[in-house]
Amino acid sequence: MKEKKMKRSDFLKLAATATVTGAFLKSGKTSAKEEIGAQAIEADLSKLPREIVYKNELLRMQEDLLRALKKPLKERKWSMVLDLRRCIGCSACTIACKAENVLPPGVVYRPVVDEEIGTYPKVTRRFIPRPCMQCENPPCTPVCPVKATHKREDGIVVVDYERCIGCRYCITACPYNARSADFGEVYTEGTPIVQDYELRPNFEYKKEWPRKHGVSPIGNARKCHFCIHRIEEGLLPACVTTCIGGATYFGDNNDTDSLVSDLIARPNITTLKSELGTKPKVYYIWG
Amino acid sequence: MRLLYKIFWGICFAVGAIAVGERLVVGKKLLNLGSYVTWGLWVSLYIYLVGLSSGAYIFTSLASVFKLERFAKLRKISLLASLVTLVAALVAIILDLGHWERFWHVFIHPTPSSMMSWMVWLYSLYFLLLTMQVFFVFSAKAEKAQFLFLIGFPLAIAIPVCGGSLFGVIGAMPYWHSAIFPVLFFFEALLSGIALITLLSILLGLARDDKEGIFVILPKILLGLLVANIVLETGVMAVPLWGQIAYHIDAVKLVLFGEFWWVFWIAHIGLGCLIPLLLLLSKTNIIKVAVASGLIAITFMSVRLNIVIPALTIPELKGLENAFIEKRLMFSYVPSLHEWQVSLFIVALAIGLFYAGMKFLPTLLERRKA
Repeated sequence: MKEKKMKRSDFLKLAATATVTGAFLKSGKTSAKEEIGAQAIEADLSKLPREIVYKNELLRMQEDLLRALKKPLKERKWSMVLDLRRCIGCSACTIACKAENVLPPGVVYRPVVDEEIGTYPKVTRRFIPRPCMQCENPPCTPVCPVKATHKREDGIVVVDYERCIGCRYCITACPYNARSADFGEVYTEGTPIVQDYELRPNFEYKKEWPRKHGVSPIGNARKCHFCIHRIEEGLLPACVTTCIGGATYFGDNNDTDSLVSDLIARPNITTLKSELGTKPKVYYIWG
Repeated sequence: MRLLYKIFWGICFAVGAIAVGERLVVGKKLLNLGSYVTWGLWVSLYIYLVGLSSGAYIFTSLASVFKLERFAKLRKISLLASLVTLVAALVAIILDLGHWERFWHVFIHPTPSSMMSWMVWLYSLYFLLLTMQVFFVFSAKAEKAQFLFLIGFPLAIAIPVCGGSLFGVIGAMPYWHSAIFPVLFFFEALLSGIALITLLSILLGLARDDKEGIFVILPKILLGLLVANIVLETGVMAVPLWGQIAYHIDAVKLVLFGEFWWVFWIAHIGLGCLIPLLLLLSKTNIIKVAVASGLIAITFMSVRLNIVIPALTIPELKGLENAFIEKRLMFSYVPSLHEWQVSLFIVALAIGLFYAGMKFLPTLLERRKA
């Protein structure tokens, strides 16, 4: 009974912390403009009891993220772990990513593959979210004729929208089909009113990209970038914070104390198409 | 009759030009391409036209470098055909780019690791060279053009080889990722290019007074190249099928037995290989040669379509086709009317430029000389 009570109180504490952290995250976003940035969040998270931070995976990843941001760019190795045992196939991550990056029709950074296993009546389903693998050896970058797509020092593969000529050669070179082409459409085209929310700018790569005809990213190749614009402001990627099953982990794999490095060191970890030698930084726990 | 042809050409050009206008104003919304099948009709048309251009040029430069004078009278037709097909190919690929206004980035951000960069650099050189040679040949300064063939010959060989490598280096696509692709592209370019020159020279009446016996040799060259191409293509199809690994044979099965099987069996094998083969093997006359070369040159587009599209319609990950269903996230593709219209414009442009070149270039350059 006592143990139960403790749990309840722990839960309340965690709920309160999450609310406070949320408020800080929000204020962090605003204060970024005032160049206070992640400092405020960091200061407060460190005041929380360690036990609470370690029990709440989101808080722990948040703390890992802030710790990584203190290091120089080239010393970070952003990685993602997807625990397929926890994924329920709700596609909340896909939609969160769509909303976060204002993705138009035909552009999807993180679809969830729905796989049916077995033969009736013994059947089950497995859901495999597929963001960009942020490969250590990306086959998509050397084929770009203008060096518009490249791997950053922290390992994230990015697209320079203003340099990209839209040849889509990189799309053909990706062995995970993880790149999209933006044809300049909006979902509400052909309806009485094209909705404003589709025309609002996105903030990929920490820049404002208004959605206008002929203006990038329309006409470009696009891809998942681990929400650089969020992580560099001390926020976890949108797909991580919205995962209701807690199946998506994110952090710095160069930091031995981080949650992702704990998970990546386990024997049940794997990557997609590891035989290709692309060395993805997105890992999967199958079972 | 000639007027009828002109009216027909005018209609094709106008219908196509409207679509080009739409492409420039509306953007790429009218295309049926997507994020998975991201290259389609225009890229196929582009490699088809580039193949015709480089194949025709390799033949002419080979004849010039080795001083095979009997082929000298094909030079004008061949060079002009090479130039106009190259121009048309560049129009096709520029319209296919998401940001065509930035094509110059390829020159200011050189990327030697990209086959596409090499392709653009080689085409630029080739375009300059061809323009100069057309100018020299039509203004009776053949000796200057002769010298340029020494540079142009290796360059023209490099172009189809580079085109084949553009696909061959893509490890993600098992159908493309083959060392034979650069070799295949070279032979395909040669076959389609020589077929085009043969057809054009017959249409322009060069076969009427064939003292040099060109039209006795050309069918034999075509026959040899056709057989070589059939052997190479059989290799491309048979080797993966023999291996029986699904990953390698998915696209091949699609070409042979998929929804568009007829593009391969009827357009390519039937019209582009078997009929020309029978015509060229039988006792030839000029009509048979014209039909055979015409069929090879025209139906070669089916080969290009079957290289570009099937590979892209195979999902890299099983189940991805149902992961997020949207029009532009499908692993299938049929060109839209808009894409056909623009293609019509490009073909009409090439024909128009060739006609105008043959008709007006000699007079223009003579006047300039005077």
